[in-house]
Amino acid sequence: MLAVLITSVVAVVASLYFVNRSASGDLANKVDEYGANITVLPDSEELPLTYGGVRVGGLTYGAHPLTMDQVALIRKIKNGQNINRVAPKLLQLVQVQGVSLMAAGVQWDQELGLKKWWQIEGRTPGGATDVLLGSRAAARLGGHPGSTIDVSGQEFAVAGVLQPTGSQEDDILFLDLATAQRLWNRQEEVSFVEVSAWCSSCPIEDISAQISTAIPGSRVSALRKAIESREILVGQFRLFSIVISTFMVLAGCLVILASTLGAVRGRRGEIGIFRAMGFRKRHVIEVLLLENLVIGIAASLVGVLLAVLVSGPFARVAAGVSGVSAPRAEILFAAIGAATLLVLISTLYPAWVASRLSPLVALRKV
Amino acid sequence: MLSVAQIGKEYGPAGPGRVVALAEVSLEVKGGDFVAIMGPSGSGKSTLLSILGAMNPPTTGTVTIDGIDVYGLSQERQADLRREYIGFVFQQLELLPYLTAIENVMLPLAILKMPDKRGKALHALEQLGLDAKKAARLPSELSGGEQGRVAIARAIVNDPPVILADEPTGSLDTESGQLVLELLRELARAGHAVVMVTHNLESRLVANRVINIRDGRCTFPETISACSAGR
Repeated sequence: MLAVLITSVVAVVASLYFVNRSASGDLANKVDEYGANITVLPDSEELPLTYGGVRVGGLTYGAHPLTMDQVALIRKIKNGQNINRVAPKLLQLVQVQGVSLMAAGVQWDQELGLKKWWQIEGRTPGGATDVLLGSRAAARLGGHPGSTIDVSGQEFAVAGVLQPTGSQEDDILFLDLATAQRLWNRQEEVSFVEVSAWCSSCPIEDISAQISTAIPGSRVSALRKAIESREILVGQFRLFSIVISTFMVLAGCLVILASTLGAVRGRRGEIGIFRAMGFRKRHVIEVLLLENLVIGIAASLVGVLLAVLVSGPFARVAAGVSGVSAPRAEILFAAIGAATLLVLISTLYPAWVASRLSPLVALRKV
Repeated sequence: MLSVAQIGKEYGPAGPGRVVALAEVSLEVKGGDFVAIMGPSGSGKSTLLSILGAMNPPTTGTVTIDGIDVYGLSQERQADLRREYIGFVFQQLELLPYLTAIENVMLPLAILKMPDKRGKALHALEQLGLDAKKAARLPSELSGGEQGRVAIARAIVNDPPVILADEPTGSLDTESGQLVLELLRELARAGHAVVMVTHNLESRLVANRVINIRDGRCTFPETISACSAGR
């Protein structure tokens, strides 16, 4: 009975721990996937044109544009598995129907995967002749989903219009990167790259440094704001997880302690017999600890295995976690070891109580 | 071997509520003695047995085993003394139901560092007429008499000089009870000092000394010859 109870406690605590861990990792990944956290720019010199406190613009010179070959190197860094999205962009000032505006060539799948907050009126762009208009750009051009516009002498279909984002994206015309490179005769050229990286297993500074090494002559910047937001959100959830885990472990210990204490009360006569036979107090403690060590190992093994089986579906259904992965072997062994240790710790007090039972209990049992 | 001098045992707070369980009891038990302590329920005979068993310190008087002042020892040393000098046969025999007969007999050896504990336990069982096949059975698979033999084997497995039995026939049928009494008498003949608490009148027929206790006091000692004469 005690074994079943300990197994249940271990299974519940381990399940909640695994779910918590999955949810924490899932949250971190979702935060990382939400927009870029690294930008890669061509290295250049900038000359601010300011005189007498009046700014008349700036001059950028000596810039060597990035190339598509360099972009491909980003996924080949040591921590390439941490790279989620690589979204290269080619910027160009264009005249469309007499209106000057900024056009950006993008890879649709990477860009749309990165900008999860975009809400598009119309259909999702995907083709070589599709364009996506920012809300203000659409207003200036009078464009709407389904209409066509002429960009640099080629006709494009307006696939959709972005809902206002409150950023520069509202003024931009987006089109397919390969088309843009061909149209503007800037083959293989890239103005800058936005990168989204999963930072749970590797600090973003390390990833930035690796990209910087892979693409000499580039300026790689980790977006401080994105990092700080991530740290705050993930940090708060992690703290919450630690509090919940600690509470669960304590509650589990109390349940095991109470049940072992109950079991000791139920075995008063038996323990009295041990004492009458000459068992010292430490012998009684050893017997109970040994018993619960065996029970603890078996219960922890079964409990943790049950937790592995249950936690995945539970995390998906109850916590809405999308990316549930099975815990690694070392985590499982650590969980079994920790559960066994906690069973032993929870047994110490009941064993001490048992050791203080008088051998007279054996004679007074009836 | 076992000597009790002027022991008394009182319970409860001082004053009129104080309960006197035993008063001025003296007793000498030597190897080969089979002593039956008799008396009605609540007379103090189980209290006397627990005091003899190094489990319940008397309020007054001394208990010595082999010249050792039992209650002058620490509780842990008293446990050692119980292990080395005393074998217990309990009222309901108290065999652990989840252990086989031989595992029950091995219990007192569990905490000792010695070779071949199983062999020693089997030898004790065989001395009492139980073979290896019976030794491998759970108590529930044995008859009442066989359970009694296992309980006695457990009491003698580490060869203690003193055997204390608390109503050992209380839970057995007449035939099994008789068998247990015979076995205890055999132990006394083999040189053990056997002290048995009982209110079974039949028991006086196998003991060579009977001590009657009433209201915590010895009312009369009786020898086996006197008892036999009265038969």
